[in-house]
Amino acid sequence: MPKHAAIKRKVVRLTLAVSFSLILSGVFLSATKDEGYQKGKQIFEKNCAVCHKISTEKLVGPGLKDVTKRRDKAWMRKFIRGSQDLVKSGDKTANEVFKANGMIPMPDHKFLTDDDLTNLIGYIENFKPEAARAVTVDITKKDGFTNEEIKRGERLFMGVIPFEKGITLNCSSCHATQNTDTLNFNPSLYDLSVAWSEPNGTNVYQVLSVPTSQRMTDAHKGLQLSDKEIYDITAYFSVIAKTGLTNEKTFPARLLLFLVLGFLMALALADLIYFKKVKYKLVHILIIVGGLSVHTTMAIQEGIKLGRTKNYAPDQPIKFSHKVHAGQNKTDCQYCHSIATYSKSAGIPSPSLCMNCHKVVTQGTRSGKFEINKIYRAIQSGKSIPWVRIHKLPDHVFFSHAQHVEVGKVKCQECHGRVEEMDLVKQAADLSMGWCVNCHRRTAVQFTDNKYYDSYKKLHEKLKAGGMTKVTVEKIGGLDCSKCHY
Amino acid sequence: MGYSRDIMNRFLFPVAVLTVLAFSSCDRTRNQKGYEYFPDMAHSLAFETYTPNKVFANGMTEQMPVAGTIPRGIIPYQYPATPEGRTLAGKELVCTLEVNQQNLDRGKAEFTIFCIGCHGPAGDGKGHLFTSGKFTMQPASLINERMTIAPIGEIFHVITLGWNTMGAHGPQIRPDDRWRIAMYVKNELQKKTN
Repeated sequence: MPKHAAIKRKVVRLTLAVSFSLILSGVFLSATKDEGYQKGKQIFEKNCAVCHKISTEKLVGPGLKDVTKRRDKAWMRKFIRGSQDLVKSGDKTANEVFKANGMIPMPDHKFLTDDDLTNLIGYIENFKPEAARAVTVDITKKDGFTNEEIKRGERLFMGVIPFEKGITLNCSSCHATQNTDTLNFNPSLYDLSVAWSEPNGTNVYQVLSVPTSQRMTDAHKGLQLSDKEIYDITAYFSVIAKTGLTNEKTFPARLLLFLVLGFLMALALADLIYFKKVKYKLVHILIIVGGLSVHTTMAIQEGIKLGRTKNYAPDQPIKFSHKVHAGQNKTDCQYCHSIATYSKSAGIPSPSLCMNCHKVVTQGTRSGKFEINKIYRAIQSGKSIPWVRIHKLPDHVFFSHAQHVEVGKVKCQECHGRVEEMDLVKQAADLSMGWCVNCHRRTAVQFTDNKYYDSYKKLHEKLKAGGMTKVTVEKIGGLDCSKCHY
Repeated sequence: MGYSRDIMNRFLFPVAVLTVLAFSSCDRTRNQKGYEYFPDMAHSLAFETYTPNKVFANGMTEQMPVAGTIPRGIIPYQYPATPEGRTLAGKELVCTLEVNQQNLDRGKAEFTIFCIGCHGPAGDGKGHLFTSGKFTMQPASLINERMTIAPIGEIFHVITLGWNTMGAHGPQIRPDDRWRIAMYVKNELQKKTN
């Protein structure tokens, strides 16, 4: 009996082991195949997608649909690594391809390893467009949700109730639900709602199952929502798209201080004249004098701030970062603000100018595709992007960028601050008249070798005689009222 | 002494806190502009360049020229953005500017603003956007054999209308400056390498 039992146990163990290893190898095999496809996809999107599509459509280079049937795979490997070497070696196919595509040389990709190429070619060969996610709810519905659905959507978004699949992540930990003073590069709840509610808006179901960018893939890792949950969240979107977000409440400290001090002073005055509870008059006097001085200081401070918008840094329709563009990417200010040298205005670049680079750069490191997609949408719809103006002089002052940038050679940063270090542009100078005048008093103009100033004969003589070392803007009428006010 | 401590407790501490608040805090958030005086003098009644405008159907103050008209000072560019257009522009367009130091300097300055990011300081296609990895595809070299043979008009044509992934820079750069950039590429960058 014991022997029999032992054999039985062995058999069971063996079957278990075999089936386990079979399952394991199955998982492993499918994983490696899938992994190769994903790796190939990444390589393709990084290196090839700018010029090639896997379809019959031609971008810069030819469409790559069924290219593995047309060309030998070994030849493809050589061509991808160094197309020009192949052309120069007199390879017939390579020369034909080169000529058929307008003699534009394809860049070399010598850094791709053999494995990379296998994955890449495998990806191109087996390419399947992402299948649309089958959804059990009505995804076209944009309006008329029930109150219950909206409430559930709000609770899911805010993380008040957990998702069915038990993920600890909730939407509101990354997507801002209020207009706040901090800058958050993730799209806010309102941004998401608007993008979804547009006629051809975001397909939330698709985007949540197949993230569109690296940033989103990382942020949404492990996030699985049921169709009903997404449906309810879109119900919440439909409300927010109309109402917008509430502003973060700020504590009105200065106003409160003003009122409290006013109240204290009134008390002190009343006590001084009528009640006479406090013996020492010094107390009353101290309160009243102290209170009045704080009130006056505040009045002066607030008065100075009137009409000046220093530190104004409003949210813009696109989270465009000057720190990334002008700072890290070293784009010259005038690349985008190109009319600053010959126009009154420095110029707001049109979306088509953005496309000079964003034809190639389709996702950002912090915002994924969301912000850059806004440019594409603006171009498609033909609607302009409603940028919020920050630096604005009153209408009774004349200011021309051309005079300052081209003639005066004033650096942009002197008035606008270190914009290349700002994620969100903030008004650095107060743009007051005193500020203008001080600069005009201080700044020397390029007076010699400059036809523009030839007519100032007396000043030229004085300068030659050594009567003065430099000619400031003030000396040539830079402080005359009518220079700026007329 | 007991009396003065009483005052300390009752008044001085709150007053000190409030004074610190008065000089440190601000009730305005970064999204608010604050108050202004005489707003009727500060805001233009007339529409300014970028203000929204209800008068026009597309809601903008800046409008395209009326169909069939040409704005003063603008010469329409006639060559199409095709390889044939490029060849034709190269054959027919002639730079009327004189090659002198002043024009070359200006060309270099404009090149530094508009071209250097992709094509690099030497024009070899190794601009900062490529070397920093933002562009995965190397921009074209302006100093290779093909570009050295190409007539100056082709460079002007490509700056104006763009080529492949390069966008049109005609709207950003005025025609004379485009010629100066082309002149700089032809007379300085290409000669430096050869």
